[in-house]
Amino acid sequence: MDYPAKRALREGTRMKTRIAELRKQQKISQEQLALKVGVTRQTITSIEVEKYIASLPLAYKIAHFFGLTIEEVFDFSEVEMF
Amino acid sequence: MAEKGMTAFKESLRRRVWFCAAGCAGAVMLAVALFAWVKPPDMDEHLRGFIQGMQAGMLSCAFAFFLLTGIRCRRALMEASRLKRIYIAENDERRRMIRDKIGSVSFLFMMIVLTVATVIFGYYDKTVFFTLLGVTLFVSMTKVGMKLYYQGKY
Repeated sequence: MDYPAKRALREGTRMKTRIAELRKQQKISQEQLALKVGVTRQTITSIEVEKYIASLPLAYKIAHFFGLTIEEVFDFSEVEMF
Repeated sequence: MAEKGMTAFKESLRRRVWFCAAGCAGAVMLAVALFAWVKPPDMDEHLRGFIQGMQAGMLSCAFAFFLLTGIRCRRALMEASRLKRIYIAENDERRRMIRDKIGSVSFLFMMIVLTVATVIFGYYDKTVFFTLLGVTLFVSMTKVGMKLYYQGKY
């Protein structure tokens, strides 16, 4: 089955996020954020540099950690709508 | 962290400790069997030396792998922060995706079977030994290459 997230990864679609900016505001390292949301530091790096698109549960955890909604952390403006 | 998931993970680590202990014992037993009991095959001395060296190296690597993995799992079971780090590393969604993409589990199984087969066949047939050795090296290089590629890509 061709899931949109899988297709986006395969086609090299990137998703902008405000994670780095929010981390800097709150003075939190990638390592600390990673431990809080249950992923490795490398995954946070990959999401920040738009190499990897977080799954919905992970996006929710990250947004919840910053006390924001998913849309406030992740930029969906470039996601194709059908 | 989900308590249920962590309990299951601890149980899995306990099983892994036993599996690693069995792996260490197996590597030692195979080494003893091959080097102390089995009469070396009739072949050129240099070739025999090479094959025995490869066998010793592969068995040492297998022993070291099982020993270090076992120690890592045992220490994680005794220390909560280490346990959390290993749990996160193993359940990280990006790493899981990479593992799935390269078929890590089947690669590992193949490597174990090929290593054992290579070591054993060194005593029976040099052609089979070199073929298996080549396949083992190719499989491990492929795995390393694919892992590096996907880690760079995602």
